[in-house]
Amino acid sequence: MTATSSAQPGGASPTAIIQAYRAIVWRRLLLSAGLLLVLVIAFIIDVASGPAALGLKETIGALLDPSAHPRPIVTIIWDVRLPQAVAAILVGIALALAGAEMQTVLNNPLASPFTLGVSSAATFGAALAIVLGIGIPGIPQSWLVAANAFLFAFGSMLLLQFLVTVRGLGTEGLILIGIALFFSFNALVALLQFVATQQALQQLVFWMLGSLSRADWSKLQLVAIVVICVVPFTLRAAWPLTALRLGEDRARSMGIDVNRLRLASLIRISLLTATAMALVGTVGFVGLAGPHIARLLVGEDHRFLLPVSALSGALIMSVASTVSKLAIPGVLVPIGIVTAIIGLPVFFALVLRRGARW
Amino acid sequence: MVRSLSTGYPGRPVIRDITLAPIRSGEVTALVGPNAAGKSTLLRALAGLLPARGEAMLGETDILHLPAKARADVVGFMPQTAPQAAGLTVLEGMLSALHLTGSPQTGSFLDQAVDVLSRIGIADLALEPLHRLSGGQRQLASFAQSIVRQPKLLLLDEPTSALDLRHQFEVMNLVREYVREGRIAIVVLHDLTFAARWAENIVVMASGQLECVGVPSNAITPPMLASIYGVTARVERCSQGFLQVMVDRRV
Repeated sequence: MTATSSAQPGGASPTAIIQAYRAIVWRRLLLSAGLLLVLVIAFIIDVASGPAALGLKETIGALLDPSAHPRPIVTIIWDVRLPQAVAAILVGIALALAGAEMQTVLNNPLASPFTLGVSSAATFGAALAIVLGIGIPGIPQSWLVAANAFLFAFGSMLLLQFLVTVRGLGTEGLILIGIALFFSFNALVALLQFVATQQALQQLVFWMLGSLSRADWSKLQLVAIVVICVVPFTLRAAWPLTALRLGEDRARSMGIDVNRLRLASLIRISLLTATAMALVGTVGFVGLAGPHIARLLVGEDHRFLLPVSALSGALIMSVASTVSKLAIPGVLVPIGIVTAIIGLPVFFALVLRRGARW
Repeated sequence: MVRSLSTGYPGRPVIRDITLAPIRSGEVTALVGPNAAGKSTLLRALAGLLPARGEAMLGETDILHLPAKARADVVGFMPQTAPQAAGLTVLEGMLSALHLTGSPQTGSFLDQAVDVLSRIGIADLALEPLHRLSGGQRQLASFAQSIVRQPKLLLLDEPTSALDLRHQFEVMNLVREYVREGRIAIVVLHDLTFAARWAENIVVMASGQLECVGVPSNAITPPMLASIYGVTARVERCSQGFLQVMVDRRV
């Protein structure tokens, strides 16, 4: 095969293209490192902020050398603020990573845990525990709501997986079933709200708004284990997921078993979203905005898109956590409200910027 | 060689028990026929995108029963349409195809991908996102993705449908040069004059069956055009010796 003459005059030489591509890869690596640095700073600010006015120096000191600081300060930092700050990071990673994978495997830029009714299912599970006290037998009371939320979120994803595997449901069908689940669970939650006592209703509404204050070290360990176990598999699927952006036919002709890839992705998405929601309740926009911010920063090569989505999600949550403490002095605003308020303008900006492509 | 091949969609068989004589290496075969004849379905079955019974031998290998990964090493497929919203660059699309194989044949995957883009003449587009390309450029990028793994069998579904005259010529010229290196190309085409110009063999399909197979002058004839396409047409040679199909009216 020989060269044809359609290259434009003055076209780039192979060496120039390879150099330019390598420069892009370096830029993306540097950007990822920069984002990580910003995240570390946001995390420290998050730990430092709160009703008890502690300075940055004092906070970092108490984090690095607890024995050298007064007991009350160490307790505030290590038992109150740190679990919440770590929860923000872990939940941000989990939701954004799940959103990124979901958007790719469903080939839908609007896909997020909300789209497929996962969050509604989690809310219904939590509502069952809060309003009717129904839960998994043998589960301690303090874990009942979280366990129910996990069970229902995971169960709804299993149902979707079943429909994909057994009934061969395509992406459009999957989204439609997800929307149906969303409305069904919302209706069931409304019914439970209707019959709930004043106290249970208040508790349920608080859960639905999403809050980091439920995080403690034992629950965090569980989320950390899930994130640490799932992330390597997600990153391993980076090339097949990248190829899937070229269309299902193209991906399959490249040797990818698309149904298997989609199924494995849905399992990972289920674990990440169900665990995150069990810990903090429903938190919106992170799963949607995180991947879109990453896409604007590093494009759609999933080797970069997935980690940068995770970092973006963690950063959004970390900043939202700080804002939730500082927005109204003396009041901890539920983080779900903050992410929605921060997320909305970001979302509008994304839609307007990419409007022509949607 | 295709033997007793049947394929279709769930609850809708399209092709039943067709057999196709062996295609020689180094030749281009055009699949032609009216709409809904089963041309794309046959191509998709050979590419492993549809379940199929029977066999399709490529040398000693039955590609219908190869695992997906092994098949992707010997069969390249270019779909009729490419997604318009993909934010990947042309080069990233090709790298994803290459990284799904084992290790680079020569040099690095990056060298291999850039080399193919240069040979097709779209090296300038390497770092352009696919969604910013015109329809024709996207088709050229899709062609590049199809050949970057150097498959022995190249299956192209209307590869020139969005291209201007010059790029139609260049793509088919590339296909011909590509197969001359000992490979086989099966190309779905609608333009019979174009098919006669570029293919050594013509396979005419209608209603999921093979109606006629042969060299262009034997396959593309006024009786075939009348019975398969329902048109009265003339088939004449131009001053360059190529067949020209001219439709006069409906039968």
